[in-house]
Amino acid sequence: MNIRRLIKNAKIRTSPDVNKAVLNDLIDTLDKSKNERSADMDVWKIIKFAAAAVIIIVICFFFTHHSRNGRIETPKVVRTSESKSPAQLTSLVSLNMAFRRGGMEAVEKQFAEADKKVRQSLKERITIEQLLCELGECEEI
Amino acid sequence: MKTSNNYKMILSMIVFFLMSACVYAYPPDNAAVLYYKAAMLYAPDDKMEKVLSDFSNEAADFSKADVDRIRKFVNKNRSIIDTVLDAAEIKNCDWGLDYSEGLAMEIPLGSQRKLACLVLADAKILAMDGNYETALNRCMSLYKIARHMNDRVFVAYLMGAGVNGRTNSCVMQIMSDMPQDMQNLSRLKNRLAKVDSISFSVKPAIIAERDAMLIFMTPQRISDGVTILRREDVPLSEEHKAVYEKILSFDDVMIERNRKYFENFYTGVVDVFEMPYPQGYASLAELCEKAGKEMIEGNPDATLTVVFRPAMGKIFSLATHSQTHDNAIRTAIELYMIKAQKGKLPDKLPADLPADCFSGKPFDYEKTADGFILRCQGKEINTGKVYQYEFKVK
Repeated sequence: MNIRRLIKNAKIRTSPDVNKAVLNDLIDTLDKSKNERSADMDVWKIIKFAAAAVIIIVICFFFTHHSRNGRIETPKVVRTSESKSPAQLTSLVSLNMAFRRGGMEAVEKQFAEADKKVRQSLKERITIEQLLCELGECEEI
Repeated sequence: MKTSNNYKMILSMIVFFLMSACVYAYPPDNAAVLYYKAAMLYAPDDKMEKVLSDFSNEAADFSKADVDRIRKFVNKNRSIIDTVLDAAEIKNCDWGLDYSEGLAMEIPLGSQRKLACLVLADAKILAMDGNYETALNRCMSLYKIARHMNDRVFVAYLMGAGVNGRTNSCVMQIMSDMPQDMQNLSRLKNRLAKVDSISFSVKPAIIAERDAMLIFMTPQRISDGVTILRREDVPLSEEHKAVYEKILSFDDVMIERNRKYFENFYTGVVDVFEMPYPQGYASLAELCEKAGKEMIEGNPDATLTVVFRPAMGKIFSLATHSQTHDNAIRTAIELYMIKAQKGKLPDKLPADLPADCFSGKPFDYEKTADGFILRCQGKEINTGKVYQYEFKVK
């Protein structure tokens, strides 16, 4: 709007057609520069966000992995079931504790955990050849 | 002399045949043997296990394609179902639990739930196909399996109660779908009466759990008890660490005093399980609170009781819910029978029917457009839930 007024009030004699052409050119140039600037701003925004994200990731990584160097100690979440045998998982005290913590759902989860471990060990099958070897018949295979 | 030898020979032959018949008899006289066998041979993948568990709980949400997939899986495992059904008919069931191990004894009942889900899926498919008679047979077997599972410890009782509850839901579904004539209903009533003749109570578990804990309340075993508790109590807080250290410093006299406190506490617990639910729950809360308070206030005698006692309130509520669900089904059968005789449901609940155990009062009875609802008048205190059971009438 101001540009329009400026050109209108300028002490230069121009025809309305010239005025209009100059004005359009100016507005076009202005729009173009505005778009370029906003594109530049978007790029800056993305760069800023990316930098922030990288910093956050680095901080998280630092906190979770740096403890291995013994410099920063983070609270260690101990998954008890991972370190227990199926027999320990299905012991009365262990199941009672699970029930105290989370009711029947926790008990069933614990049974499932024990079952999974048992199944894993069952997968390690012995072959007929191995069995015969154990019986001292290796040479005949 | 010769005749006497002949008699001896015949007698020894009879004994031999009888003995060999005993040795090779099937089924064995211990149901657990067959359950363990079935569990060893049954290996659903995680996905199918979840599907079966959901299906046995609520079959209505499953598409035809899903049901066909389950049907295929169930048929593939037919021999396992047959083994479980054979086991259910055996009177004796000894899981081989070593009670001398006390709290350290293993309770290998996890697979039982999976096997029960498989049999329940079979029952549901049979009912979907209109084979209600066989479907109900499966359910009666499942009730027996639940009773077999109840082997004197809380966890075993609760696992059994879980199977019992799922079976109740399946029976409710079958009752709603099957032709509700007098013949079918009388047969179901008689079958349930047979099931009821086999005890299914939490009470034996109260005593056995107490004994399992007492095994560790001796000068010889107390450190084993603490080791086991420490293993379970991870991550270990400073507060708990201090309590365990304190227990390890107990001398023989202190252990004996703790033992006495624990025995008195448990006498109170046994009494609670005889009380109506609201009073029982309040007394239980009071007992547990008292022990905790005394320990905090410096009475060392209460220490082992606080550390070892199971979650009694939850157990009491679950046991009450299990009995209430059973009672709802028995009440519903009476209502269905009235409908079969008189052509319509009664407007009021007849007297002397099994009660809602949460309130000790009869169920709240409501007729609906397509059947009736039996609603508890009391709520489950620890969750605030009010249970209700919906039945459909044809």
